[in-house]
Amino acid sequence: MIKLETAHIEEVRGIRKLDIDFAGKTFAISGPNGSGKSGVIDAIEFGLTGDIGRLSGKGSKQLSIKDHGPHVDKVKFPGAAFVMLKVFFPKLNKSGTITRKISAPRAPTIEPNDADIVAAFAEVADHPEITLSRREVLQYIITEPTKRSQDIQIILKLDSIGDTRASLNTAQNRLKGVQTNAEGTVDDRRRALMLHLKVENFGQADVLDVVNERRKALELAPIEKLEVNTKLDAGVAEGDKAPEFNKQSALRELKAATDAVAGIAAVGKKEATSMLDGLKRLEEDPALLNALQRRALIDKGLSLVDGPTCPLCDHEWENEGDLREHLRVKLEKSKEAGKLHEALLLSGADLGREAAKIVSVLAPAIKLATAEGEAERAALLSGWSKDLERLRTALTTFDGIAGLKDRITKGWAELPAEVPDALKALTAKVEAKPDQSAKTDAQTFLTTAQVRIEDYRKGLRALKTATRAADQAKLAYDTYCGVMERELNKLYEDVQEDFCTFYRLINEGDEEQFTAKLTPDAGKLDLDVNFYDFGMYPPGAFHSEGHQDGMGVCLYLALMKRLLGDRFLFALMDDVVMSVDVGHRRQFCKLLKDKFPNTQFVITTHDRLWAKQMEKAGLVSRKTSLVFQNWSVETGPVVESDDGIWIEIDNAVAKNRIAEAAAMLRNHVEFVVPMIADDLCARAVFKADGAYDLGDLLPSVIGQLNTLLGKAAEAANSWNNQAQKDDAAKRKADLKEANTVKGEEDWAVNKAVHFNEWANFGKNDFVPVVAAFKKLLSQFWCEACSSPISILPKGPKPESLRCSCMAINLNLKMKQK
Amino acid sequence: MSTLQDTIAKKFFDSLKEIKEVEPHVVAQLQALLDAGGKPKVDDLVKIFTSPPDQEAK
Repeated sequence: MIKLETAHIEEVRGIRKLDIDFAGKTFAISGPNGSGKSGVIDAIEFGLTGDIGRLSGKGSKQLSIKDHGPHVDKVKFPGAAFVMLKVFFPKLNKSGTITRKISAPRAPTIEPNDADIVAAFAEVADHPEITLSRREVLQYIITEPTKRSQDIQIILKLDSIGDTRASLNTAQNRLKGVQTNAEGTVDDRRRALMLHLKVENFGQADVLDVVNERRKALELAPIEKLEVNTKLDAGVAEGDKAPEFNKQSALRELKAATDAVAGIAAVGKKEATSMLDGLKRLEEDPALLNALQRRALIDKGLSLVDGPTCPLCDHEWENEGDLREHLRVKLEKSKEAGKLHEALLLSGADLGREAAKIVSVLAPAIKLATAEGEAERAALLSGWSKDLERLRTALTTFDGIAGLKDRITKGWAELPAEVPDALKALTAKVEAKPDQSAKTDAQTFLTTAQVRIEDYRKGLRALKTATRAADQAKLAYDTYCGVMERELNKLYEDVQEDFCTFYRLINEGDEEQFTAKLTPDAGKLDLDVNFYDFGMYPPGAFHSEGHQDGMGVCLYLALMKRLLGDRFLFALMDDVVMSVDVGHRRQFCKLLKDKFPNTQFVITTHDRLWAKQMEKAGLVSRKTSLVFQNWSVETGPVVESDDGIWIEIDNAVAKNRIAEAAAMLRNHVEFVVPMIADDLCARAVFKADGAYDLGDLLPSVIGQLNTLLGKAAEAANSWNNQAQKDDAAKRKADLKEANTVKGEEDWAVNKAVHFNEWANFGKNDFVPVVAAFKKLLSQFWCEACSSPISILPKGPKPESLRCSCMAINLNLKMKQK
Repeated sequence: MSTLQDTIAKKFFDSLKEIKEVEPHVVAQLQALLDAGGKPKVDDLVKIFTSPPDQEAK
């Protein structure tokens, strides 16, 4: 995977033009709601994947990247909106740049256009789960087990595994159907052969007895053993081979048809009665009928699913798994209707088999009628045979059965009145034929037997092939399911272990005994968590929202670790822990640092304190942090920086836009003074709501720095360190001067602090205020590393006052006397 | 680290090769189909399972 080096974003989402140097390191972007933070996440996600989750995920049906990806000012010019990302691929030890336009999200420009770089970018594009937003966090925790299973399967890309399993299943079902049909064909052909041979048992001895009897009549050698290639008519000279017609055989076949027709009224009565009872129940209970009709439709739809588009309504689902699950849940809801449905189809199948038997005995009669030039009778029998085939097909579906109610009531076979007479006439015609001589009878018997047995053998060969295919398909399917289940269970166990470890880490001192159980079961994934040793409950049962947020992130991290392993090098986290309390956030930083030291996280938060905590925890530095001050349509996010902010304020003042400059100054002072107070452990009158304003903090930080510099001078004196003594004294003097200048402007500062009246000032009034604050705040900053000076260790007994680069490093510890 | 899909595919074929009823040419063709990526088509699978062994095909 990747490390993000730089991003250039232009006219995408809320951003006009923005360059960020991520330096391949974890990066924090903070700013108030609506300041454009998520726009950066959207842009990076778009650059890497060509997609923006917020525009294509759930609840975004009316949104599209093309229409809503560009800045609102450029919706008609999507070509102007693009993202250019410079990315490092550790595995290749190479960097590449990808430029993706909103107008052509699937056609990025990649530099260098080397095959390995292009393939590496394609791999990244295949991992949209690198982006985690707050609404996605909770989807793993507060959700139905079936939905959780689907969501986790999506994040783990298990959909492709499910696709393979589904295809193997459909293939094995189809081949099982082919095998069943082949079995039916073999049965039909065996019956036809036995009818011709006039044998009751289909054993080798019985068959050879009747065959050898005819062979003896023709003075042919008997067949000793019936083998696969044995020809029953072997030895009958080609010239002597009579037509297939054998009078006695034909009479037996006609008798079989006649008997079947005569007894047809008694056949299938039980099945017909069962179906009529079922149909009557449905007439009396419209709700049941409704449920069953819907069930039949859904059942059909489920069998036709082949992709994420619903075959019933064309609704586009996120994936095939979601669609299948939706249909399965609907089926589950109509169990009573389901039982009736099953009973009807079972009776239909039984009756269908009876119809097939009639069709089977009619076939020789139709052939005979045709051969005898009895076209009308052939057509009559053939017509009825086709009707019975149609009936058989209709009996395989609920709609078909429902449509057959009248027919089943009257007599399912709908025997045409002329059929018995037609069979009778054909029988009479055959009987009227002169008896075949013993030789001819024997010849036709053997040649017909050979034709019938060859048909049977072909059927057997087809059945063997079908059985081999069906068996192999079933073995492959069962094996795949077994492997899949074992691996998924193992995966869930691993994920569960990591999830608990991560969660315990961020809740150190609170829920150190936390345990969780992920239980996969028939497409569901139950998650239960231990609530302070009171038992295992669903996460939403007793845990606070903050804890649930934490669980969501931990589960995400556990899943990503299992999905990508040591390739989990990059993730975008968009305000994902906004309701986690302060103590847990500190631990969260520790989790990211300790457990994912090689992963670059880009984290956004609307909470500046949270951003500051990341910095203090060493997760990010000032160089890898960005603060958005505010946002407007014209400017996009306004980036706050110590250098940049003064330039922006000066520019606004120069253009006499005092209100704008005043707002920027106030925002900046309000941002940095609490940070300074925190860095120096400045004291302020305690407020339970924690809402300290400038009036509370500004005097406090000035006083604290003054005190610390005094201590530094004293400590230097005790060590006889003249250089530090001079440095501390100079800084103290500078602070005093800056404070004095600020004091001279206090009339204005106070107005600003207490009444926010800067906005009403004139240019000449405001310029000295800006200069005073600039000078004052610079006393708390290191020019070399642009970081604030702070005490170490934090607390009542600091030992040094220093900046990040140590250019400022004043000892506060006195030499022991 | 291989992906879960890769692991499942590898173990699937390892297990399948151990089953004597599943013919080697079927395993080989299945492997080629799954290696090609994407959702395997049912028609292709049916063709593989019904394909005759090499000696019968000649």
